[in-house]
Amino acid sequence: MIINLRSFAVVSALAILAAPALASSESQRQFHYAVAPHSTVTVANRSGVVRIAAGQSGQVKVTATLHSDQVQVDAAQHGNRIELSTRALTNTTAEREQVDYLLEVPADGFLDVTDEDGRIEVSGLLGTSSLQGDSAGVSAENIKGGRLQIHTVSGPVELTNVRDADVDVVSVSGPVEMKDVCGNNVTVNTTNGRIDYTGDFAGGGSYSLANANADIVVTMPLGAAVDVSARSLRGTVENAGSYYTRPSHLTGSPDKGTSSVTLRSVSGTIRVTKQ
Amino acid sequence: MALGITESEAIDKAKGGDTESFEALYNLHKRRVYSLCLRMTGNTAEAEDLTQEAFLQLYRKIGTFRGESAFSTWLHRLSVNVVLMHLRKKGLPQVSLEETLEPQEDGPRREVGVADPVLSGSIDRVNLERSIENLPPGYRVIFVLHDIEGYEHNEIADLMGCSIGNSKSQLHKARMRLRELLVNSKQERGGGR
Amino acid sequence: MTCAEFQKVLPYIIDTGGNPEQQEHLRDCSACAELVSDLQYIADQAKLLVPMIEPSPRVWKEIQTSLKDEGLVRPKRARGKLLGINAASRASPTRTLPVIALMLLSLGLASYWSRLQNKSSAMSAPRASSMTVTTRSAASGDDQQFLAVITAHRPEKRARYEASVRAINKYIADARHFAEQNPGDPDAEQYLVHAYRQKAVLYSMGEWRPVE
Repeated sequence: MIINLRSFAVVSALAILAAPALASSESQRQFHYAVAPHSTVTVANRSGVVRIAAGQSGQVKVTATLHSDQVQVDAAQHGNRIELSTRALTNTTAEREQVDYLLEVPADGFLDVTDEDGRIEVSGLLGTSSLQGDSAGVSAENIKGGRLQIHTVSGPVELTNVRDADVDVVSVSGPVEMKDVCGNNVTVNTTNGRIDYTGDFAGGGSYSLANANADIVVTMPLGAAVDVSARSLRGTVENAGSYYTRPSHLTGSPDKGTSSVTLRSVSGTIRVTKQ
Repeated sequence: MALGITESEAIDKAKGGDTESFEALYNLHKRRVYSLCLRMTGNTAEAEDLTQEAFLQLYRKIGTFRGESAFSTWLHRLSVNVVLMHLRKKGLPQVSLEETLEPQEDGPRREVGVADPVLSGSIDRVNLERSIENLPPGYRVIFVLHDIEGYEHNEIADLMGCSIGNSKSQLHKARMRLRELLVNSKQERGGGR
Repeated sequence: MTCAEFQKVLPYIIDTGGNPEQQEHLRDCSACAELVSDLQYIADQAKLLVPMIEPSPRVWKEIQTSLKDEGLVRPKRARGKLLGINAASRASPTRTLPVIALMLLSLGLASYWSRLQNKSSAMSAPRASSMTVTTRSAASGDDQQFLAVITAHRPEKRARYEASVRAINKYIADARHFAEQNPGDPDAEQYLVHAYRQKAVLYSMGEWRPVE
């Protein structure tokens, strides 16, 4: 479930006000940095949620909630680069290593986030983001421009309203769900993760959705200007009630401005619906 | 058709073992074949199995198709044979080999001279389909072949191994039974005269 | 002629109209006329029953299987124009499959193993001298070493990563098999690229661990 980050400021304020109400073993740390345009922010976390939203330009604000005294946050600025990482003080459990991060970053910056066991949620960014999860999910919404790279092992990936961005998603078994995602180059690659795309493939770009053993489900409006090539080596391709098992151009014809959509699966079912 | 090729091109390619053409032919004719099988058997699972068998036989024999008749006619006859063979194996009574002209015990009864509710203009297709499903198997096969699929009595006689008179008689009984079912349905809905 | 006599011969005359006596009875008898009208109406309506019912997708799947089993289909050849090719060629002009696969995997592995060689912390992985893997292909030994590192730092994740490795290896095997069976198929390369990329990304993700 994607969390709406529009009221991020309120959330931050509440987090600060709630500090006295934290559990006795919990603590909070806050950091505030001044940066130049196109700054870089890196976050390396073990468990806990990392939420990042676009904030004021020239500033990076961080609120880290530490869930035990067995863990520490290292924060440093090196020129135009902010580095945040979670450090376990002892060999402890994942729960005790949990740190939740709330960040406000300049929209046009570079973002590199790794969160092994916790969710990553980003919103409103314009620059380049590399988000790496593991079993927990990654979500990105209201992204415009730039580049978005997402890797998970089994964590679900949710993209909503991502426009004019280069998108690269790789997950082994996590499902990938995209709503209104378009760009010059959109690539999704899973082994066993189901891929759902709802949108119009706008922009005349190149879209590649591929997996080995899961379904690929595409829903697009009737007027979508797309040329869809779909192929499942051992599964079926379904288009509006008809079934194909060989590479088929399902809709549209190549034309200027038409997006190229390539759907490939080894044994999954590929389903294309126009509504 | 899928892939933008004509039926005759698909047939030629299918003769060469082109799977895409097999699929194109399947998509073109699957509804008619399946509907035929379903109406003749009244059973979805059986109809699917018979559809599968009909197309497999088609693909096995497609090399022998010379184009003397329409491909759809050829496929249709093949499908009918598949269904009839299946029904014979099941041992369902279809039609008696010979039949006298005397009224049969299982035929619809009607009191001569008594006016019946008029059907004309009052059948909806859902009711008709449902009534066809409720026909005895032997009546249903003849009715589907003649009135839905358009076979002539002499063709049905060849297919079923019966006489033309027998085919006509069974068809009449099928229609009479359907009339009874449809009238009853109409009366239940309060549409009787 | 009585109604009983008429209806006795009706099955054999309904399409032809009958002889003059039968036609006269039909004109004079409203009951028989209505009966004939109803029966003809039923026949006419039946002709309008359009075959709208579709069989389930299972039917075609089983036909396909049988076609292959019976050898009625010929092996696939390279297809004609597929716009997917244009998109792929924009992204990857290289056509040599093993080189691409090794490049992808080697990039990830080189980074991974170099970190291992530089790392002095205790690991259960084999010594660095045996890890000159930049020129090795993705063999099961690499998988075992990768999983050994995972076990050393995240033992609770070993099962999941092991399952991921198995799934990806199957993906690679399927893609290789397809490429071998369909030489010249433009999609074969893409399937391999996708599969090997999965392995490369998994390896690169496994190398991360928190600062200690």
